[in-house]
Amino acid sequence: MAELAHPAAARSSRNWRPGAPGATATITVLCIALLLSAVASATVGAAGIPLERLMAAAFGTGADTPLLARDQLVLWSVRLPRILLAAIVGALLGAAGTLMQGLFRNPLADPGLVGVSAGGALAAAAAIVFGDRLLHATGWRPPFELLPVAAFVGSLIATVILYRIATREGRTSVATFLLAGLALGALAMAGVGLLVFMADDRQLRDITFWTLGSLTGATWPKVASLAPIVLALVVAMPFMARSLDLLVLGEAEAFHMGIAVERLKRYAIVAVAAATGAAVSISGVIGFVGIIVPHLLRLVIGPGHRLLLPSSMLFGAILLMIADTFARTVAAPAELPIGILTALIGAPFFLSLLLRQRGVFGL
Amino acid sequence: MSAVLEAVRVSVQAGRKTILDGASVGVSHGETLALVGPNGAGKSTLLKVLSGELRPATGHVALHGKPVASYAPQALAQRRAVLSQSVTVAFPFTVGEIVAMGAGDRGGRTRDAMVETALADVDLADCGGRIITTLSGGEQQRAHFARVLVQLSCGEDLHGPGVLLLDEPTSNLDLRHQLALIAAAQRRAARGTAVIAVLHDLNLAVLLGKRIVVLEQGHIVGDGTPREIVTDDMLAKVFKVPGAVGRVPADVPFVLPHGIATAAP
Repeated sequence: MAELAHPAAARSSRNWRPGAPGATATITVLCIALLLSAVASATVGAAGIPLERLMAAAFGTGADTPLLARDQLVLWSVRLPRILLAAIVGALLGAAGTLMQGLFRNPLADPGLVGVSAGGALAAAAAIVFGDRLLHATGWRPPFELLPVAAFVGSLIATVILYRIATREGRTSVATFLLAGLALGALAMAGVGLLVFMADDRQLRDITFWTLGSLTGATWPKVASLAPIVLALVVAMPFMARSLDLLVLGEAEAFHMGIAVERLKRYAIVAVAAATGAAVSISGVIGFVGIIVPHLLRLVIGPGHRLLLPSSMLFGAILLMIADTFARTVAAPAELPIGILTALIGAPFFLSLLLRQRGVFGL
Repeated sequence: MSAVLEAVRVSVQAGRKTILDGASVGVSHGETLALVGPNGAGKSTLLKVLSGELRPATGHVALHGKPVASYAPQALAQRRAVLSQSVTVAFPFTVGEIVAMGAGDRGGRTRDAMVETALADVDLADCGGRIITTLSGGEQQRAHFARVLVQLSCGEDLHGPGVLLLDEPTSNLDLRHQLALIAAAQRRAARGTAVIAVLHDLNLAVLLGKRIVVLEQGHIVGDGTPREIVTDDMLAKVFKVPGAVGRVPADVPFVLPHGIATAAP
């Protein structure tokens, strides 16, 4: 990593963006908002826990009353893992969107939209169907969680293919990128369809869950399985931030200014695939979070990746937590698939963005 | 004086077409060199080879006597700065943020002072907070020149005089800013920087360069002082423009084209 800029790089006494909030203020505000939405989200649901009982349920020790016991059970084994999972998946999707947009120098990039999530879903579905058969046929059980690894590999392959197609001589064509992504997504989903055709009933249920995108069935082990990836991203991001800023000027310029461009691209592709694959393996395909989050943030804090990357994780967490709260309360006791909800908000947003950027990209 | 940056018999192919064919050129500290030639002569390619961006098929490029390919990108960036022909910025960075990118790992007050000086150098002193894409083409070009100047200064602080490579730096600039850019490059050269600029305007080339190198179809066909190079003969042979060189009193050649030749001589 020596040739990627050191995180201390961006320390400066002057902000070249008049009126923009500083880094500390931005992160503080987002953290507070995250905490508030978590508390709000904890209180509502099929079994509501009003604010005045929340503290007792969270920190009370013994179950003094049946009501408190119920509150504690709901909070600790249902509500909290769900909230945390929504936050983590949102953070991963926000990070994946921002990284991808930086890598492709394109504000319209989103792993859900251009087939990277679909690639992960295809690999996950394949793991469900063939994993069982492999186990039956050979008795060999892989020494790791097959699903997340498969989703990561699927996302990685999709990202690499997309990069190869859309980028020529260091230039990425926006139109080629979007169209190739569309085709890749369609191809991957056709693959998923094929697997559905081959699947038995239980496998079918599992696969359907991926294609729709949902956070139901959140458990502590799921939360724990995602934590290392979030941690790795948080550690890696500062090293990539300045390099991604320079990449905005183009690959040649980034090289002229001292960036090992090929290495940066490799890291960024792996990071996008890891974040997307991890999110997909837990929650299925949830689109548009990766587009909305960095775009809104750029309007306020600017496009510098040093602040944009961590902010995207926080804002993505907030957004998905709120969306998931809606998803599980709006039609209670039934649940809306969250992927449908984010698409309802995100697709019009994407269209308006496309209309405004049309001139810029000559689309 | 020995060359700080030198290309020796470099050739570059693109498909079947030969873009550079055994071209050799070197530049020394404090020297200003203008690279001229008709469209498609290989000027930009030669600059890319010199910058380390493009590896030549044959021949080699040496920076401070060591192969340019042996430098890590960051080490290279500290010893030479490059202004490309056109740079598009995909996200709404401000001018100040773009120029500050030139400072690399540096932060704090020294960087801010450098950015402010560079912005003043390119006549954009009050534009640091503007989104770069809202600027005119010429202003954007000046902003990127300021970024390159900051990069050069940072590198020179560490390793002494560096190399400045400019690819058609005046293509979008008005007359005053063309002259100002040439003057800025000369000020750098006066402090030891080696400057190579691809220029289309021969008068600017004469103004900038103690030396002018002429490229034609991948070959170097002229290398000398402006007086030696900018002649009726060269104009007719290389640029296919008939007799147009005049002399101002100090015997500085200038070009006043009289239309173009209808048939190549």
